[in-house]
Amino acid sequence: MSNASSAPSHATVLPNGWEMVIGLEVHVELDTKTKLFSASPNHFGDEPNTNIDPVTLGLPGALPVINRRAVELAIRLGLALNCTVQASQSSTDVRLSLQYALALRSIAPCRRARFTAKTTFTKTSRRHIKSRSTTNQSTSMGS
Amino acid sequence: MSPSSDAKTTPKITAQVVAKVAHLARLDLTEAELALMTTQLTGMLDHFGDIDKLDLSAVTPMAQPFPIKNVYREDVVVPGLDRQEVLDNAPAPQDGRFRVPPSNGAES
Amino acid sequence: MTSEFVSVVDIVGSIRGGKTTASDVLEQHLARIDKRETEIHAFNHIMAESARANAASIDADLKAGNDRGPLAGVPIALKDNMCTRGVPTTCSSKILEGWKPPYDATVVTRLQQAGAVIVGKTNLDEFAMGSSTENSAFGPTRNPLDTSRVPGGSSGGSAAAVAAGFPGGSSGGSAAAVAAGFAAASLGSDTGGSIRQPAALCGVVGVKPTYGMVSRQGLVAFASSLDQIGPFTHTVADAALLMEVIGGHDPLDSTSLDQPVPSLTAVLGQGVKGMRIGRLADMPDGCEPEVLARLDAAFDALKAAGATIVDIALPSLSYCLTAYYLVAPAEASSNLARYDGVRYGLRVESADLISMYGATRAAGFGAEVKRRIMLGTYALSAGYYDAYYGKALKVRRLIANDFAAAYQSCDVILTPTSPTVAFPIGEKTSDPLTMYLCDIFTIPTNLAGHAAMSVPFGTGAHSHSMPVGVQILAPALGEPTMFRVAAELERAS
Repeated sequence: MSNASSAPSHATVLPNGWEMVIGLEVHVELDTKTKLFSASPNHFGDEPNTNIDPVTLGLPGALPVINRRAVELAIRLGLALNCTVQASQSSTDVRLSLQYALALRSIAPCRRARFTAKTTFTKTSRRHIKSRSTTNQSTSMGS
Repeated sequence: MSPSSDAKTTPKITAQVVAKVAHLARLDLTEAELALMTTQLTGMLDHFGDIDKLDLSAVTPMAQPFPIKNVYREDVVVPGLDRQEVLDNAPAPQDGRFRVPPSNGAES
Repeated sequence: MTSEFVSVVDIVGSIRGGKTTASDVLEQHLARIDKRETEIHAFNHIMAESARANAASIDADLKAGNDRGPLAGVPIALKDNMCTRGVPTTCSSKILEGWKPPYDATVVTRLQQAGAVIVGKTNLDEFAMGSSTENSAFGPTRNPLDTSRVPGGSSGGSAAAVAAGFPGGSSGGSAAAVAAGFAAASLGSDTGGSIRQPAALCGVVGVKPTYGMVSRQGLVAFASSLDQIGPFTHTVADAALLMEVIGGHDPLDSTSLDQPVPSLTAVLGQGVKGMRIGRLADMPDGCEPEVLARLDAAFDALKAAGATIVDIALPSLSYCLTAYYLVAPAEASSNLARYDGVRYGLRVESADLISMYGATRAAGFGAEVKRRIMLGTYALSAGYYDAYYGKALKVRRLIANDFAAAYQSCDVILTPTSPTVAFPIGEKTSDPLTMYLCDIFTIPTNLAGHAAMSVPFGTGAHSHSMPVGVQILAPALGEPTMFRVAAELERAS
């Protein structure tokens, strides 16, 4: 990245005008009392299989109901990171997924116990830049 | 398997496809079952090809009977199940856990 | 309708009035079970001991002047796909043989709180997949009215347990249990007709409520957007009472409707004057003439009672079977993915995890279940989703639109429940598609999420007096109208 002879500085310019863009994929556990789909305690470090109910065990007949607080916190985080929160256009799509542009769909009821959340802040990329000022390609952090 | 989004007619099913589907469904089928399944599924899918006649371009899909929205549960702990009762009805309980054979690195 | 059996309403009245006791009523039912259960096989598990203890406790409470609820002392059977804590719940599958749930389904709790005495778990087609109860891993249930015939499915045991069967008799397994008088009422589940069809074949009343009216918590899921629990009874009034007890919002089921059950018992006497009864202008092929004859008679009876008959069309009706047999197996393939030998049920020990899954599921599931899982997995798989499942969801929209249009000009629709009366055991098992055609009139309601019920209306002229059921279809939340029509047909039958 930099010449071996000098210590790297924060204002380092990469050789040949390369600009480094770093993306952070961050998994944040939401601070709720109960789990996402189950009213069992969300508590790290307890004995195995002690915070269980039909939903966590996937028992026959179990039905998940989503935790309101988890949805609130997720939306709050999205807003804090200056993301767009979109209402879901239809109740047929029950998957929650955070897309590249960090649009957060509001939660339609999840009928199945499957829930995927993928977060990608920005693509890590290296660009060949010819004499132009560095622009902030990533979303602003904290506002 | 060959993709066929927007298919005008429903694709044909082969023994190879059936074997692949059985693997996806985690069902160990015998050779005889695979052969019978291929015949029966082919017959069914032929019959189900009747919906190809319909013009569905302007129709929105309906996965649920009613558009219920935003049904939540409050973030309050509710007493769960007794671990012993659960494990008593498990195939291989051990030390408060469900014992399983090793996965050997395979994705499950 | 003649019956040697007493209705739920009458049992409740007699017990409350001190004319009999819960224990006596229970013993009568257990005696019938003793006499004919070996022949009929309505039950997977009979709960005689706990039922007796329960009945005794109810009698003690009533004697002390305490109210034990609107169903105090009524013997009720439950389809064996509803979780009963500590009691085997097998779904008639080897993969759950002997499994005892650590929790009760919501409907079970509601029945218990209402004072019902649960007598047993009834036989079904494995995982509710079938129309004859011949797909049970534990042997078929026989129709109490003619034991060479099927009781229907998948809730055959529940229908048979209730039916008021005696030689040459008419109505009165979960239909057989009711049909044979093993229980005064029973619960079944209906995904494509699995309450209504066995009710018709066993000559009892069977109701599929509006989707969401009865909680599915604790019902072992087959197809989550189609399943509903409902009652089998001898009489329409009994069905109304059962609905009022088991129905209503459940916070544990996020698809349950956020409103109470509409008043049903109170509307039963209101008649059908001025109602518009829809009749299909285009009847699908394959209906036996004796069934159509009874349907005509039903229309005549309603007309005589002051209703008008309106011809309606459901253009997408013929595509419903396809839509259902793509949507339901797709949902089932997802719901049945949990049966892997890890936490409950059968396990076939293997060297590694994936092999254990494959071997366990191969050994534990029967042929029809495997077939539907395969069909569903295929329909959902990458590359085929749009061609099958995606299209099926659109056909579902079409039938919902058709119903909406039809209900502009009528209040309810009348059809046969089943194209045939109860057929001989083994007649339709060689080709799965033949069996699927049994559900042609019942499936559309599940796809749309509407309400429907089957009411016994006489017997077939040719088939040795086997019962014929007439189906009343109503729009979502149309139960009050539907029950009024049912009560009228019951008066006329």
